[in-house]
Amino acid sequence: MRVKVLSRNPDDYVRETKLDLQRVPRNYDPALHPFEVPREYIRALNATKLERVFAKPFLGSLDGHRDGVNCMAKHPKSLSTVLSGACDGEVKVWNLTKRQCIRTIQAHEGFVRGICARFCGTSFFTVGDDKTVKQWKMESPEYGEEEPIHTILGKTVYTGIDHHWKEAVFATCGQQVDIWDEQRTSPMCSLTWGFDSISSVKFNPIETYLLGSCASDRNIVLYDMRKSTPLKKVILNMRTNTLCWNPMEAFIFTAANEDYNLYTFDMRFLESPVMVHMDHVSAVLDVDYSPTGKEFVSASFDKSIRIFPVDKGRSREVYHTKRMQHVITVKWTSDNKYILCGSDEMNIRLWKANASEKLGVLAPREKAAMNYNQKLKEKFQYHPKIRRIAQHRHLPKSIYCQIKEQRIMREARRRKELNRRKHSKPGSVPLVSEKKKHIVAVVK
Amino acid sequence: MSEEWLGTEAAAGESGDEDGDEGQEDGERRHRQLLEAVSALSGRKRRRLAERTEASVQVSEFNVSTKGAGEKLVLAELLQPIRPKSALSRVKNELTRVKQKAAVELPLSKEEAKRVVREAAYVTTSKDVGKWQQIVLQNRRAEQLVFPLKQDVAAVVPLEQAASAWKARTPLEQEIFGLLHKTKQPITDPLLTPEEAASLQAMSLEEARQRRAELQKARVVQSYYEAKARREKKIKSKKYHRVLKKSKRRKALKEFELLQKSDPEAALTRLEELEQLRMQERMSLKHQSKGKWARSRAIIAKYDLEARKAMQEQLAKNKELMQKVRVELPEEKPHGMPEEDLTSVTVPTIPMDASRANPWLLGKPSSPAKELEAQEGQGDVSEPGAAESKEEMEEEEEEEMSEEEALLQDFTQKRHMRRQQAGIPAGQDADVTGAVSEPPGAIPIPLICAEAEVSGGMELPAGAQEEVLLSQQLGRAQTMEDVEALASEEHVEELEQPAAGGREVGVQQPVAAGAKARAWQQRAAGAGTGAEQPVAAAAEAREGQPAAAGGEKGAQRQQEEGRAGARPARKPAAQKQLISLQAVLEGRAQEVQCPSLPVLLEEEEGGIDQRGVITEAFAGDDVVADFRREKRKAEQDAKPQPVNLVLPGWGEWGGSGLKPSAKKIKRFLLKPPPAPPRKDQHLPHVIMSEKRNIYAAAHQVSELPFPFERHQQFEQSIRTPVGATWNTQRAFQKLTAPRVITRSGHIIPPISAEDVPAAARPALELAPEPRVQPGQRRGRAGL
Repeated sequence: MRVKVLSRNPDDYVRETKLDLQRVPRNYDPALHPFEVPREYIRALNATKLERVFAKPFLGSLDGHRDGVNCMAKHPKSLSTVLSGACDGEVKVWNLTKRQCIRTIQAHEGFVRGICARFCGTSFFTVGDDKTVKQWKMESPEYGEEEPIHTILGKTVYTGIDHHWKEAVFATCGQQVDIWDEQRTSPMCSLTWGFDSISSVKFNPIETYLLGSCASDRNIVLYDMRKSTPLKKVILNMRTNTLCWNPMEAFIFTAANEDYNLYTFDMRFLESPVMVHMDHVSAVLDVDYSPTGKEFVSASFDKSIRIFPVDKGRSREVYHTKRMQHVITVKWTSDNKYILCGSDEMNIRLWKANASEKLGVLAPREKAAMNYNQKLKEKFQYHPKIRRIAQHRHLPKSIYCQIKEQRIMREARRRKELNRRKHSKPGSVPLVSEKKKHIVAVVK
Repeated sequence: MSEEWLGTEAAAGESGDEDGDEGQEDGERRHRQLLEAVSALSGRKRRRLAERTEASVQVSEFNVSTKGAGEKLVLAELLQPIRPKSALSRVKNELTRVKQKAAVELPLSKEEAKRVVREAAYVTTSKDVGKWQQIVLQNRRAEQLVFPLKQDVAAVVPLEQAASAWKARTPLEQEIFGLLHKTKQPITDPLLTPEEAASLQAMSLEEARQRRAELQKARVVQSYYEAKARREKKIKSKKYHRVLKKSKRRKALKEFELLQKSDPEAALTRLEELEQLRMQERMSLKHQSKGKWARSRAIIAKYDLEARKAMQEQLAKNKELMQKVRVELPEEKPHGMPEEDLTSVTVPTIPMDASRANPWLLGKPSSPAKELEAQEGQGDVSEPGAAESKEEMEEEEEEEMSEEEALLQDFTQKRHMRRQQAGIPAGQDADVTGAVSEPPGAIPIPLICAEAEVSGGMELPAGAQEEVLLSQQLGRAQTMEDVEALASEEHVEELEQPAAGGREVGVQQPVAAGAKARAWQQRAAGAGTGAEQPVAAAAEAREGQPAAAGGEKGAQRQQEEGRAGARPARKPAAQKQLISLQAVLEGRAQEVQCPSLPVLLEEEEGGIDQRGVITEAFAGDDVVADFRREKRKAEQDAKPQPVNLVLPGWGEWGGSGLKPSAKKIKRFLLKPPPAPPRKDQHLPHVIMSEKRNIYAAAHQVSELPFPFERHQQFEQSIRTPVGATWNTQRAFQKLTAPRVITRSGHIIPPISAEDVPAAARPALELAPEPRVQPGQRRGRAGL
């Protein structure tokens, strides 16, 4: 005899907890659920409001430095460890979960100009104003004074350092870009193109033989380590302070410029940037990509940090606190959750990358609700009321006023150009797009 | 030597230049003569030298003399090979090449050289980097990205490996494995035992075909039987099932008989088994009135005759199953089956008193059983075939037994119970002598009514009953009693008639008991003074009647003894002569049966319907009229208003009390063209406003947002709901899937070639030498 048994998936009728609501079979007849758009609109509006209500991005500050924080580095293997170098030559190693300093080293005389961790996370390098490059162990010694593993004495001041992503090679910059083997005390090769101080050098994380640097003669230079030659140089209107490669897109990098803007370039087409990101009201000092490559965070002299989507010209978020001064360095943690910024007033601050995100483990229903709200916000983002709420940010008065002022200035410039075009021979005043406007030249 | 000679010749040429052309020719000639003279002097050796010169006018600086163009051909020269010597030709080639070569360019400046290097490096590097283009685009367009990109792919382990890696640990597993190994069950892929494989191999084609045909046939037959079984299972007809059951029973019985004949011991064991079953049943207390089903039935039984019947069947079944099988007389009767025993053996053995005392035995003192009994008692029915036929009859009768009977049984049961509870002896409450003694014609109309009520099976509606009963006021309580008494009397009289034969069973009747019954009836009448009077009275009367009918038999009988002779027996029930009186009384009580009054009551209660409640609650506001008014107002507002441009006093006299002339008004009152018909003119429940609502406009998108190209696209994107209210769970999850998923506490490393899905990897590998297959590469833009 064949026995037929009804079999049901317990997921269809079993509650997650006994406090949970009973599962109810649903009737999806649209006639029973009218006004779907207005109802979803209201839900979206509420979600947007709640997002703003819960937007509390500041998590805490790591204080302990006795001078402004000049540079930071992420530990490549540990999410909870971060390194920072201050203007008094002190390097600190922090534990983020405990929000404590676990180690302090007096690394240099004068500024610690640059700091970077080795790709394996066993040691880190610092460069300072005392013309030295020092390599340190990541673990603190059991007893006694901290001593670097290696110290390289250079002839000139090094202003930045970055480590190769896969090999035992690092690059420093100063008068020229030097590429060092870890085992040697003299550089493997020195790359120069013109004479000026180079402020930052960065290895490409995907195509690891590529380097980018920016110098104070307003240019960005790309190098190829294999051919030990520079590739191309692009000159901007103003100096670029630093640049950062996109960790998911090998040919994209973003440059933080003195002219308050950030420029995202495709290294294959340097004639014009892919995107100009404008929102800061003062020089942008540092930039770091999120590990997903979808966004980046920028630190500015205007005492705020901003988060930009890679493909948007305007920032989606601005973080500031009353006590935060000029932000010199910023990092996005490798789990895409937090942002660290080091500023002039000796603090390192820890922020949520997503201001209204709930930290900790989410129940499945919470997650579903979150996803739904996210989708609703996305769906109704163009509706004026929702857009107004979503974009509203409180800003310090200085920034607010400067934004207004700059808007006026930009408007005046635009008007003037319009007038000039109107009153001169057609074609004599060409239309230059915003992207092209900031590029002076591309040098082969 | 030739150089020397050449030198002289050159010297001669120089001197000849000075003299002019003629001088030069002269000089040459002279020179030749001189040479000839000299050579003649030197003898043979000199001549040889002259012979070695070549026939050419020109003189070359490279050791090739062309001297002797005008000389005579020497025969010996012709003996030499025609082609020039190879060594010389090589020299000549070199010479021509050297002559063709241009000057070496100046080396590039250092700056320019560097630039060239840079440019070349840039081109190759950007080509190198360009191999990521496809992947980057793919990731940008991806609906969902999960970081870290490097996901652990669950590798599919081959079955053999998995099986070999797994060890049986628990005893059960070991046992199973032992079995598997013993029967050489295959663990690895071709899932055939060695025997199966061998048989498969051994089978020839013919055999295989035959086998297959057999299998097909078998399958067909099987499916046919399955279908049949399914069909049979679906049949809902009770009759069919009853017949089926009966035939089964018959079959079993026959088998049993055969068994008894052939093998008495086996039959005995069979009987023992049955006994066992009975005991089990008894222990399990199944088929009683305790189960869920039974209780639900008991509730419904009050109104539903079917349910009641089912209940009774169940009780009967219980009894039947609990009946002890008489095994001690195996040779007496073959129909030792308990089912038959039930009817044939048990019922008569139960004494009346016992049946009253034992509620278990009250289960089914129903008329069919009695009838059967009567039949049995009457006829000589002892053979199995007859028993069978009887059974069939019984069942048919059961079918026939109407609802009335079932109801009646119920009542009798109830009555019994009540009696036992009250401790009233059955005979005691049985006299309505007083009532009977009343003159029957005293109140004719109510009497008729009551009679109708009683005899007509209570077909009167409740209203009629009420009317009848209400017509009698409190003051006439006596008459009420009378009515009831009369009714019961009549009833009893009717009952008495068929049972006339069994009259000697009648017991002594104490008169005092009759008084009691009367008191009870009075109480009933007195209680019925209020609003519920008719109902209560009716109900009580109903309940009282059968009880009275049951009880007053003795008195009645005595009274009517005199009459009995006078009255001709209408229905001489010859068959029922042997039936006990009580059974007869119960059986005939059917006429007392009443309609389900409580149902009527319920209907009355439910009469206040929802609609009424709502209308009552919202009695004050007339929503419909309000809406109509509102709509009319909206229509009025929407109508275009005439523009009044009349200026009083212009062109005529003006002042208070003076009206502008009609002509002027006609001219200057501008009537606008009539508005187009309203869209809601045929929709009475709708007001459609075509005005722009500024409050709504504040929430609306005023211009088409960037990524959309047409407003339809945008509207469509808004129109589709994503919520769980409108979508199934699965669709909801799909629609709200986040763009980027990250796992907290996981480091997201930069993308690398290993992270790229296998499908996109070829692009990554081929990109560095993009001109390998130009046709293919051209297809992909950007690389």
